[in-house]
Amino acid sequence: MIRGKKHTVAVFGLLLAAFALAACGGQPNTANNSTGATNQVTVYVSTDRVFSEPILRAYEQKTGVKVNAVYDTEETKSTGLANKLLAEKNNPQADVFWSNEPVRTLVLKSRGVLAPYQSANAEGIPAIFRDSENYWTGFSARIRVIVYNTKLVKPEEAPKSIYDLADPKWKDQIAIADPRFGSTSFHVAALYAELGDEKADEFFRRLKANGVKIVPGNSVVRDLVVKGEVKMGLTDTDDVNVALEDKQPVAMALPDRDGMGAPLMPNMVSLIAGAPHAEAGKRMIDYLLSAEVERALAQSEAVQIPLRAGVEGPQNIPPVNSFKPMTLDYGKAASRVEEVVKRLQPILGL
Amino acid sequence: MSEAFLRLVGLTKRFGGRAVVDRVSLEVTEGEVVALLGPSGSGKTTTLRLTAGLETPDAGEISIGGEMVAADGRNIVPPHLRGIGFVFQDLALWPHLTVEGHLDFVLASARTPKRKRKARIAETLRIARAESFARRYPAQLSGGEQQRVALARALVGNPRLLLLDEPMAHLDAQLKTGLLEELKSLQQRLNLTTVYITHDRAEAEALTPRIVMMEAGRIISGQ
Amino acid sequence: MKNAAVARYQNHFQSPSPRAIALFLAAVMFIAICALPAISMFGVSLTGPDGGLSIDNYRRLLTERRQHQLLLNSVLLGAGASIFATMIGAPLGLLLARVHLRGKAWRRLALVVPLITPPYVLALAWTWMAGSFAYSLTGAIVVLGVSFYPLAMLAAEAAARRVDAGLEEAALLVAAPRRVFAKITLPLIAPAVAAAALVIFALAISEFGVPGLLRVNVFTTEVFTAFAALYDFGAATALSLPLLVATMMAAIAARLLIGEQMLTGRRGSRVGLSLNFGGWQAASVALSLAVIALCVVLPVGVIAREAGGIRLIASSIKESSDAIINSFALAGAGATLAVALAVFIGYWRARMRTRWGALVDLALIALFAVPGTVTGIGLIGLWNHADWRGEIYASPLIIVIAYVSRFAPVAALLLAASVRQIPVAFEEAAVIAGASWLRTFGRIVLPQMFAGISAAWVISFIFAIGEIGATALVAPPGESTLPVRVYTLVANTPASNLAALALAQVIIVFLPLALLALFVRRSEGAK
Repeated sequence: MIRGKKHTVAVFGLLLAAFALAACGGQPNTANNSTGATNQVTVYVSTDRVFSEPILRAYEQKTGVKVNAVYDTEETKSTGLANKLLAEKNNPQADVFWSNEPVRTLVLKSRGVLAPYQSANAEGIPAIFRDSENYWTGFSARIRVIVYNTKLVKPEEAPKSIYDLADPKWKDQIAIADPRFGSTSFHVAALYAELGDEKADEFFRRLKANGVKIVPGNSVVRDLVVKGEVKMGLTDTDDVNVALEDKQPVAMALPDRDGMGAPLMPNMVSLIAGAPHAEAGKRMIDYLLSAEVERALAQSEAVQIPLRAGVEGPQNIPPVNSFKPMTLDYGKAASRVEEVVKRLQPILGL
Repeated sequence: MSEAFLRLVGLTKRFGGRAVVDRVSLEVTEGEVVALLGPSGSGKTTTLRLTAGLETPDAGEISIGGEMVAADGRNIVPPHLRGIGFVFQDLALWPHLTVEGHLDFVLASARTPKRKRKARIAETLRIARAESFARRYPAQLSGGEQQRVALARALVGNPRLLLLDEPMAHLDAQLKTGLLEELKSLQQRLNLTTVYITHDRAEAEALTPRIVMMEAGRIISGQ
Repeated sequence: MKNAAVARYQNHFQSPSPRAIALFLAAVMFIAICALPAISMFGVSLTGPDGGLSIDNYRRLLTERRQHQLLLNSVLLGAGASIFATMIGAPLGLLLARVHLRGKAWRRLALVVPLITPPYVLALAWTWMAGSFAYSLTGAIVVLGVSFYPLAMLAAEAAARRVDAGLEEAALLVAAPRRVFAKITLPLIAPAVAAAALVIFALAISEFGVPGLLRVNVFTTEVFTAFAALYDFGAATALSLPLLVATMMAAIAARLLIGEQMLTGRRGSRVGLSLNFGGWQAASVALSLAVIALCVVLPVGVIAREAGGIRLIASSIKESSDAIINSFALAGAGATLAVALAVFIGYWRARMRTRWGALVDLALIALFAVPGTVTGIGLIGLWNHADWRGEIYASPLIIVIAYVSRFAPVAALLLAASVRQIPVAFEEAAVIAGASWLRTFGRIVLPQMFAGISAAWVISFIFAIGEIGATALVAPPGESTLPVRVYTLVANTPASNLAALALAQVIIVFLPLALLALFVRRSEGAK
């Protein structure tokens, strides 16, 4: 019996050692930051890994600089990179933060995690998408749109404004993603900035009265519309595009073309204060703001709209100069997001 | 010569090829006290366990009160129907029951009606001199007190045969003498057929003149 | 006169025994790794915006009514899952211990599968199976109950095997076997089953993924919101307090109910009363097969179907192979270190006088109940500094530390139970024979704890491999683990890919357990 036990322990120990060696050997040696080796840069990325990783790998190929990337976990399932950056403030590990929506970036700016940097490549980007203090620069945007099921919604009934979602005609047939997280949090912050607190509260009360379903994410909104479980909902352009490529019976409507406009949601890139490889970080920001990256993101399944004039946009999405975007002071809108979330919780019963 | 109350005939039990109890034959008359004496490993405990039905004999017969309870390599009557009171070497008191609980369990198992149970429990507690700690749990009792509880449990069901496996093994000499005396007077009063295992000759002699010696699975004297 | 002074000094100063030194060192390491992150976070929660002491976070906790409702939901979820899991698992464990069945090791292995499947994955399978019915508190209770019943099963089986045969024999002399089983065996097993139910309660109320997916509003959601939507570390930590309190109250309740009747150790090698009478064998086979069919084959089947063909699964696995190897190696290392530390803490706890021991138990349970994200932020605060700590923080070692931090407490609880069964006399005998404490510990105590150590290792490994809250926060670039990888991809990956990775996660945990079962079977002979 003792022999059997010792046998088990020994084999286990060997297995463990083998795997530990495999794990350590297989991983690239993450050189410690204090030596400040110049041939590497650390990027924290919120944009979906599926889209962002090829861009970063291309940079590696092009420049030979090693890119250490940390990707974000899905918005509603974990605390995400913003918290990691906040927690690491006293000893920053990251050089660059690449966000896929403004709220996170602006929270970090307000907490002193970011450092200003004006990239030469920011030239072609319209001024409203750049921070006046140079803490962030926007590029490659998505639009917040209404997705609806073309089989269940007649063309003449197609939604034109987000207020249509509060129309009793669509009672219990609408869905939105949890407005406390991700891009939807940006959307509600934008609405509050645009409409003012009272009108915005009213809108959401009407939504609630109309039986709006609150689901974990934008992709879930899209899935429900595709399946016909709801007829329409609020989501992002890239989520709708997945369904369009899949030949599903859905269409997107850019809301409020004649009114407040559709919220445009740019990616944002920022330099981290106290970055261990600041120079390498600045080069990375320059690269991300280049036309070639915007083109790549437009052509990929990310279908992100270039903000720069002259870069060809994605197929299924209207170009940026063809519709009315919501005029937003991104800084002001995003800075109120925490307050807005607190207001919404009792209204929507979250 | 009076009828044997407990009769073991050619009792054999093997563990892993070795005969731990080897063709043991024994006759105990009603009301008699037998001390089973021998060194450890002599097969005394196994003999007792066979008698109780906790082990199945490989060969031989066991009869209690004229009733055949084991024969042909099997137990004909299960342990709980043999009318036996057993005191284990490590006492085997149930940690989740009070002293009263122990006694009640025995009586309830025998389907004794509730009214009669209370009286019987009170009487047994008195006999075993365990009244003062009737509501306590075994963990709260001293060695001597636990001993009494084990004895009370063995007696409460009105057994016809009392088996004790080295019950005094972990008690001090003074306690031993006292309890031994109590046991003797109890046994006489109840006229209870008793088999008592020990490895201590003095203890055996103090208890009874009928001493049966075992060694290597066999009875070597006192038949 | 000088000699007298020296002599007096020598008499007063007693050098600490090796035992004291070893236990002290272990305690220091334990506090540094396991307790400090939580303690520092609670410090943060008590800090106001100006840096001074402030109980605002806690005041808000007591006054906001919505949080009371959420807490109630959490408690209902925890209690429901715990009861459901025990109802399924305890009878199974009992049968595994006492009924003669063929292929027990494999049966047990199959029955354990829901535990090693990430609860989130089971919830997904459940939604694919049950449609809209799944999105309810009942749905969440079902999922978590199925997810955790193996804990109740393993605890019941272990306890049933451990019952002192003498106690059952003493009862057999007066009662029929059925009654003995009901009145003697079952009550003796109850404490272990209650302890498992308590652990399940703690796990269920700290679950986030399942209620999130099934759209049930519970307290953990609130904690999460404070982090992810409000970026308020202090508030988030303060919000974990009710969870800790609920867990500790359940622990106290369990202790009061079961009282001081401690688990009896098994003296001698006689196995307890076996249930080979009546139709128990057929019933056991039927029950175990039914449970396996409903709780194992069905969800795994649904997931496998969703995952598409073998080729798809293989390519998904190949793509994430680095994450898979990482998960395996890091979880293995984490479990090993957690158990190594917990052995000493558990020993120290088991040999402690009762009153302090109860407090230590509560502390260990509380540490176990701290949400992973709180631990994660706490670890960053403690380890992310520009010195030797930063070196560790930038390496995969920080993930191992996160695992030790989260799971050494529960391992310590398990190992303390294991040590309690070893009579102190064993150690005393060795010491008298002239062995040093270290030698006694290594040659006498540890070998006796083998079963407990294996169990603690397996449980720690399973928990570590599914851990996401802390890992997502502390993992350095490129050191993805499988659950984190799954969550990173889940936003824009087709369900089939997700299902394939989920399947991979089940397989990589299942394999070492299967191997272990194989070895155990060989070393124990036929059981």
